[in-house]
Amino acid sequence: MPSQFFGQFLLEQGAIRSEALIEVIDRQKAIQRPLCALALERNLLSDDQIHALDSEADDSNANPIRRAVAKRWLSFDRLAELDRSPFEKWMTLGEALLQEGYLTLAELKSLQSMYRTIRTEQVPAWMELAARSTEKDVVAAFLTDMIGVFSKYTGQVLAVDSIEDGPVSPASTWAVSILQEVTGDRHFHLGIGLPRNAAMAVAGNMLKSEVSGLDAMAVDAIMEFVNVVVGNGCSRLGNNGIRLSTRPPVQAAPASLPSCHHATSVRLNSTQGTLDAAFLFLDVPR
Amino acid sequence: MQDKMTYRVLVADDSAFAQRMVKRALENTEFNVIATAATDEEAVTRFTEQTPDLTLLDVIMPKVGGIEALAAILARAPTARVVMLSSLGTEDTVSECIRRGARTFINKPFEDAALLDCLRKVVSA
Repeated sequence: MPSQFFGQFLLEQGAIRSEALIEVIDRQKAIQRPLCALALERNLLSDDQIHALDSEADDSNANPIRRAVAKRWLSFDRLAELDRSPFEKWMTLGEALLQEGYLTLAELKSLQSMYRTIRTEQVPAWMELAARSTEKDVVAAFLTDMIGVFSKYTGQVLAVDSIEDGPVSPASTWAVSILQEVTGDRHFHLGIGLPRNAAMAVAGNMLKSEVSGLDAMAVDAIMEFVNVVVGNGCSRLGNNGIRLSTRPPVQAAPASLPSCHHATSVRLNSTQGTLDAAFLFLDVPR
Repeated sequence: MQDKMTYRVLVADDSAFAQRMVKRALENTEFNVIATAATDEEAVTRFTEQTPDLTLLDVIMPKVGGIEALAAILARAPTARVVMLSSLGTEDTVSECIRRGARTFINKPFEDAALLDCLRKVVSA
């Protein structure tokens, strides 16, 4: 199943109306959770420390989190890190739905349980390879969706063969190469290269018909595969507070890959042949 | 005997493959695809020409993108039923589409039954 924002899942299930979703998102972001609660959630402060800070509250005007820093229970760096993270300071969408009375606790629990079912995937063996990449979060998220979308469209298994950081070498065997740019909290291009036989087999499976050559429809099917992988990957990372957007994919000559400061190459295998993926990371403008 | 209600549908997606997937999903249903568009600008033109009962609009399209096309369509016909269809189901994208007046948002890749279910909810609302 695709990665999804929980609010979109609720819309799709007909659990709330679109106007209600917007009202709840606004409510969610209007009220910030206390930093002490976040520190407890991240195990930066213990229950006992929070309790001690609470019990001192009447004797001191200082903000509890500032007192935690003064007591050296929390470093300035950790405090700054907590303060920089608006995504986690918001109440959850579920909390806001309950507060606004759009769902009962029982309804919310049932919907969250359904949502977790479609989002939960076994940690695959290749995750160890992805962990070696400098941009492991991006690589792991997009590969998860690449494998899932490939299976959905073609009914075939796609297996990760290798993941390596370093310069990308476009293969002379690529008959189709597609590039799609991602911008936001990260800036990179995802490139996909396929040899002719693999491209025709993938396109044929996607179109559910015999493909005699790499015509416009066959190439378009592969471009849509990349587009869906990229969109779903952005959504998956969005669920972790990483904000990304994208432009439509383009067909690019292998020699015209954009220059980047860092790259990760991935080789994937299926019964249809090999598929090469490359993540080309650029600096994020500040 | 009363005829079954049918709905005229415009499908706007820059991917011919995606258009084909939607058409296939809506075959033999009450949703009749009467026109397609491959760009955001063409979507607005086709909408104006055809005044469909329902418009399915991709978000990631060349030029201004599907969200601007949504705004242009609703500026012409404020009660138009527009459903966004995209792989980019981030909170920012979904909420912007809804704020701009989309009836709902369907994630790609979709199951045919889920697409139909969503469209039926939209036309019966």
